[in-house]
Amino acid sequence: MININHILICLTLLIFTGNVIASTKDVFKDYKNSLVQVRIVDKTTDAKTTIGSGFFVNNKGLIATNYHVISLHVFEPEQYRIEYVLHDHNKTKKIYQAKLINFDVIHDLALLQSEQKNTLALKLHDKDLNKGEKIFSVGNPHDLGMAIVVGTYNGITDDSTNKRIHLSGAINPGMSGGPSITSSGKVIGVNVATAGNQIGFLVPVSYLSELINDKNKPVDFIKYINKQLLRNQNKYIKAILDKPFKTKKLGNYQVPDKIAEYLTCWGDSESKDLPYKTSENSCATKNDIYLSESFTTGDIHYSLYHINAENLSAFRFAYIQEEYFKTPGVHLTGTKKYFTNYECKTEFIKNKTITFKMSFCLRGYKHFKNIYDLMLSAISLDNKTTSLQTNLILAGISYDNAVLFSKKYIEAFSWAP
Amino acid sequence: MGPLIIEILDRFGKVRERHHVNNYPCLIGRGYDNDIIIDDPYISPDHLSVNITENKIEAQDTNSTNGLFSVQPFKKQNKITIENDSRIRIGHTDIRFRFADHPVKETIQDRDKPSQLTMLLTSGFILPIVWLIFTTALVINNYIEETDTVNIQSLLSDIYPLMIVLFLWALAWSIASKFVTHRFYFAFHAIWVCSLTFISIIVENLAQYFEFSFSLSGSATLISLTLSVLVTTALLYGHLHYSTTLAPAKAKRISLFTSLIIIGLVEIGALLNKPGFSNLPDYSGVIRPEAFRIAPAQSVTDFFENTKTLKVNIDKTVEEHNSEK
Repeated sequence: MININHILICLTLLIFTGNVIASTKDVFKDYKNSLVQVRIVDKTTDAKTTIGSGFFVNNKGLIATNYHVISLHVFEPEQYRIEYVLHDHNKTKKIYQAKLINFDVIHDLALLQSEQKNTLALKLHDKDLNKGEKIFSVGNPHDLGMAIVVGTYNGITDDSTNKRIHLSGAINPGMSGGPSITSSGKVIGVNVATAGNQIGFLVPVSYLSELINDKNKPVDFIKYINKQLLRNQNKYIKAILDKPFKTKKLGNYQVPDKIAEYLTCWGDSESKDLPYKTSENSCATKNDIYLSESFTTGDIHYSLYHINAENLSAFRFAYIQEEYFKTPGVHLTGTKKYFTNYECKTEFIKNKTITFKMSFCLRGYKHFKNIYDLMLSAISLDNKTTSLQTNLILAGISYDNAVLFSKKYIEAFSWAP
Repeated sequence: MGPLIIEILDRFGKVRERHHVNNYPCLIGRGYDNDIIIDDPYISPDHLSVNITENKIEAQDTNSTNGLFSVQPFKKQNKITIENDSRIRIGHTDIRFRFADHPVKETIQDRDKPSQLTMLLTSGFILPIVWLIFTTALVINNYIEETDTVNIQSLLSDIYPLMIVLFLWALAWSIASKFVTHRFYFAFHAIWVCSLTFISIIVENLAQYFEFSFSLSGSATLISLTLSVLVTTALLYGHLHYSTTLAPAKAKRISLFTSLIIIGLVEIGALLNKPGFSNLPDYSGVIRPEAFRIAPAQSVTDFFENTKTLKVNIDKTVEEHNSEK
């Protein structure tokens, strides 16, 4: 969807190119047998379509990996099965079947039950690390055997609706689902994404502990995702709505400022070669929730354009307003397989002080109940030479939250004192 | 009664030949020794003789192979008394008899005696005035709609292509009219197409103002679609009227029918090209100056009260999708 600068490690198999340190490898030779390569296999062709990594979390054959590694199986279990590959001491590889038993789509985690018993488990770390501590990210791309990247722990990021560990180190695609281990040999997080340039992200191990202790045994995976999405959006939308929106001045208007700490905001202005001036502000989440191939959700994005055209007639100014109102700067993407078309309602509205033309548009998720994408566009009409256009995008929220959020958002606008 | 005229009709009942009867008996047949020769293989060389006896005119079968028939009632006869408008059949040919005092319809006034409007529209001097008004209107319209910086050169260069198309259009109709009616009405055709293009721009604008003012989503499309049928009909009718000899009623029917077909095809094409799925919402984005707003602005609460139908519609689509699976 929008603003994906952290592309989830995309199920693709890339050849590992990280720094394998011989001494480190020695340190971890005991853990080699805890690591597996997770594969999604197309039942028709019997060929693998996705490769990721995983590791045993208990000695009864429970494997942790990323949800995104096995998402194809979640949406089409009759088409794709899960396998994993284990390298034994003789360096020969053995393929086993695994069954999906639980997952957490919000934090991108999944638990698989293997056929094997008496597996060698990795221990989970239960304390905080200090910034700057060394972490070893492990993965098993292709059949190269265990591969290790040395990185630095950089704390928990605050740029997402959900917490992630920021790792300075080259996590490579194919290492998705593999563990990142402290120097004491315990798992601190699960490799999940990279933003390139030595910036990696891990799912904190606390979420994995929660998932292991979760007694849910989902049968209908789609309904289970539906439930998780609804619960998650309720949590973060409520957190935003519980506080008053901070506002700031944009031209002669007072507009919503950064309404949640994890949003990233930008500003820009332009007047070159145009008969009017614009000042732009926009805020957005940095990452979204991966559901399946070209199917993500969870974005929050809003943009604000202040248009100032002092030397234009009201007629020409109206056409400029129209252009901004009709063509949103950003929009959500998706395919017919997962989304309905938008349904819109467009009217003149007046909050306490400003008259807008506003269009409130929703589209549905074909697999889920009561989950929608919101796209709101509004433009102020009161002033003859200045106007404020805004777009609000909320992906994967309930109808009630779409309405509550939109109301609060549009009511946050006023004339600047 | 007056002199007799014999009309040979074709199979549609239209007159093919007319003959004045100067001497009696008047002989009719396929042979070259007749007064009236009819080239119909079912007619005998000496088929019929038209005689005058005691103030009566009679058609007499002269021993033909296939005989003489009265048309109403259709009956084989040896002799038929001829009156004004009598109709007989010999072979496969109908013959009508009329006397010189038979009344005829009123004369249709030719366009050579044109109305004042026609004189105005076809005179050359009004064309530059219309052209100037039209060009100015186009330039103003483009100027208002332009959201970028504008200058007069760019505005003029924007309208050149349209001007050339309209010129060629008017020229084509003028040439057609020269062929069919032997008159070259370029001024009329040019004025006509410019005026109607001008009207359609006005109509389009009015429809959009209407949509904005009353906050009626999609009404502009509907209004301009309806009016574009009327404008196209008027355009075609004007051209047909001045470049063909079609009767006005027929020209109107043809124009309406053609414009319905053209606009219907364009709309069907647009519908077919519309993507079934889009990541962009489709909403009425028309904005005009606030002074033209007539629909009241709703309160935020009222607005969202009425958004439930969106949810209902979407849920229905989702349900339909799931039941299809």
